[in-house]
Amino acid sequence: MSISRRTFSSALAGAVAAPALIGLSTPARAAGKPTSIRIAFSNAGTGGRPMSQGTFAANAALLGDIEKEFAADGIKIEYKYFIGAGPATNENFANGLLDFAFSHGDLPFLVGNSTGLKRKAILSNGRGGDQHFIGPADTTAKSPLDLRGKTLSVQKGTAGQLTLYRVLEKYGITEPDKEFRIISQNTDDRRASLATGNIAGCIDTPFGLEARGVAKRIVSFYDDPLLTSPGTIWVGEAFEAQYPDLVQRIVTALVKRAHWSTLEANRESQYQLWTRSGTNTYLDNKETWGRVKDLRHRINPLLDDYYVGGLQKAIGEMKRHRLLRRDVNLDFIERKYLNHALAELKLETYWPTQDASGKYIRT
Amino acid sequence: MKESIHTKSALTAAVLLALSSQAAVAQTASSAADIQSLKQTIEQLRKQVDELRNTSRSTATPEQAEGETQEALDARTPATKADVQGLRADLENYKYDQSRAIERNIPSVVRNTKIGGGVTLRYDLRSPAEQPATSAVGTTPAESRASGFATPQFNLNFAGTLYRDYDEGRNLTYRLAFSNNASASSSTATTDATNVVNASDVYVRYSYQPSTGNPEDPLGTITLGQQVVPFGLDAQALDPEVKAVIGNAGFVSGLNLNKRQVGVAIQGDFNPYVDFSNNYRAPAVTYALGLYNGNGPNRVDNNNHRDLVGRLAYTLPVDYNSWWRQIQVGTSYYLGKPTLGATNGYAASNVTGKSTRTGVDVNWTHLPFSISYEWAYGRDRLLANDALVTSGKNPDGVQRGVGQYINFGYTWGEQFLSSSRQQGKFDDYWPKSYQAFIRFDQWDPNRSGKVINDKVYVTTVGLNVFFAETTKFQVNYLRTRNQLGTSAATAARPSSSNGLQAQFNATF
Repeated sequence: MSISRRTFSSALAGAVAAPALIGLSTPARAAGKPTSIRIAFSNAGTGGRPMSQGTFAANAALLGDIEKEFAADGIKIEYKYFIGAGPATNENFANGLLDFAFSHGDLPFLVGNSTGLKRKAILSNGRGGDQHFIGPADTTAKSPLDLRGKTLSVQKGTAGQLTLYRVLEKYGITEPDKEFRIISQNTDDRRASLATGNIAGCIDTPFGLEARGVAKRIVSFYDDPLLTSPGTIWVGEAFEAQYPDLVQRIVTALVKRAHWSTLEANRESQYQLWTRSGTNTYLDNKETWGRVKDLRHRINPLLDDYYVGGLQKAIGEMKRHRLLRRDVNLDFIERKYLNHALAELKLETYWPTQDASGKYIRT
Repeated sequence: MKESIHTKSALTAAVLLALSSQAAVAQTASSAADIQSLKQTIEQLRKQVDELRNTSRSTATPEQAEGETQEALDARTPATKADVQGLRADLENYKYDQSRAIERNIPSVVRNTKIGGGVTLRYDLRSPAEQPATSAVGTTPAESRASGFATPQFNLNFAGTLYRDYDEGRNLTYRLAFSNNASASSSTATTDATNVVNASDVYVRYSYQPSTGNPEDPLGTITLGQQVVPFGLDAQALDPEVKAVIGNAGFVSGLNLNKRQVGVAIQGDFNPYVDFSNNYRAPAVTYALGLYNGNGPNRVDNNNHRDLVGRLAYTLPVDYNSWWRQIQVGTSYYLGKPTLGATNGYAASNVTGKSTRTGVDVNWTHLPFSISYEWAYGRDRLLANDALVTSGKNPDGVQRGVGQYINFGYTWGEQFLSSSRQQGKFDDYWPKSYQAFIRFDQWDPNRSGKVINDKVYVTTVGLNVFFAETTKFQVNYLRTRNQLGTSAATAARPSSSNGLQAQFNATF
């Protein structure tokens, strides 16, 4: 090819410089303050509604807490609700398009960190919850063991994958991919497959599906600390290094909203807020959360032994299921923002703490 | 409601009890103590009735307790039968409106069908101006032309599912598209070829591998009909909606790879590497094998020979966050046996020719950066009486052409990230993106040592602006240099020319 090296170099330099010349660039990140703060939720409401539900961070977004916090600074708050769940949050962060995630499950968070994504865990976004293993409406299965050799569905790469494996492990199934055909589907596709009977089982919220007559509960688990694992709220390391004061303000605002969310007087307000996302109906929210007598048991921002133990347990499981190709240590946990917020709000001993196995230390 | 029934029952019971008690008193004329006792009983019953009344009233219109939220108050406020009936009436009205709209206002199809299409509008400038003597397809000017508008392509397409396999997604689908694009034209370069609407894609496709969306499964399809030939990278980008650069590389038209063909092709991949933490899928091997008539679209075959095309590509199995992500190396081969003479009108002397195309391509797309390089070499047997043979320029009766390009791209924005495209939004949201590129293209139509000074070099600098989900605006600046050697420049073949193309491409 007779293109000279000088011509080529000039052209390449021109191509790289062109963005600056025509004024296109990513959002400005001035030294003092950013023009915007970009926050992810690893979920979205039914039909792609830009809403989350079921956590204090969702409440903070629904009630505009962060917008109010930074209104006087002129900093724009940009929420992103990813239908592609935790993996989509990783992809967006890997491309420099996120500063915070207000919800991220253990599996995508840890795998992302293991592949070099730099983030710091600053809060837990909640813990506990019910797990329902369900099948098509005409299933005769009494347990997952009755479905061996059949197709199960889960959105791989999400925390739901590990939850499914944990449920199966309760029945002695340690190598689920050998016992079942496990396919990856998002929530909408999975529910469609249940209706047509093309999958034999999955973990999902059963209420709406049962009301439509397309699914049936096979087995349910309620707030089993060994099945669930706390979610994470994180900040990108670069943002945290540049704007630690802004991180503190966000953490404090979130902890304040977490406290509000645990108050019995606000239980009904939350049910109705969460219903807006369409993920669960009001009645389903009431049924799911009605069993939780003390809201602090689920709505808990602490990075305690249970949080750490949950991540360690997840790492072990991921290695065993060959979902983690590299080692990952837990030096990304940063408690100083949480501790400062708890002290400022005088909530140091407000939330119950649990040990790694889920046993309550402080109630 | 229930409270009201209870209240009435209690009142009735109390009155009956009181009357029966009074009758008993009259009949037995018992002691004053008994009477006093009965009075107390009646008084207690009266109190209970009053309490029930109060309870009934308070349930119908509960009062907000101090510190109670509106939501908590709402939660203990019952709905009346009228409320429920009103809600049901609204629901029935909605259901009626829906069924009426489906019957009267929504078009229907026999089979699952999606209708799409697109328009491409262009304005171009060129220097020196194009002269009337220039005979280019569809653009021959009546007099000197330095600028003008054009609608280089419009299309309308239908696609859908003929058979849906709910178990494993081994579906049978179809696509029918009409276009004025030259790649769909059955005629050779006639003046009005680009103004005639032809069928472009006409095929049915069967997935012989599961296509349930599980990224760990290999993909595989058989496509029967008129389709794009799976050769290289740029030759497969024939339609404006999939092209980053407005014009194809020189070898695509030079080696006659810019036509759809009629035949059958097997395409797929296997052993995909999946990084679930980022929704990234990289099949280790992508393959394609096709058998075609070889004489272009919208025609019956003109001989008894089928053309064969094969392609293999390897993608590095690495995580999404690796710098080596999406490095793909591919190779393609095309073997054709065209009937020589047919297009030149030498029917009496028709002979079976042989054409081969060999291609190698390397692509690296790691947003925001992308680099692609492609090299293609073609070999065509010539008729013995072809001017190139008789003049001694190609004494061995074979014309060989070679072309290559390298393209550097830089992208800003989120258009190409699935996470950004699939965000929950209320509005018609689509991330804006900008893509700048520079491409160096070289085409040598005849490598014979006796045919020199025929190379063409085109450098294209461009910017694509993706400002809506299916709409983009493209600006390309082209600098074309013709290798002249000792030959003099002519109006048809100047030593160099400049062109500016601004194109708006919208699909729906």
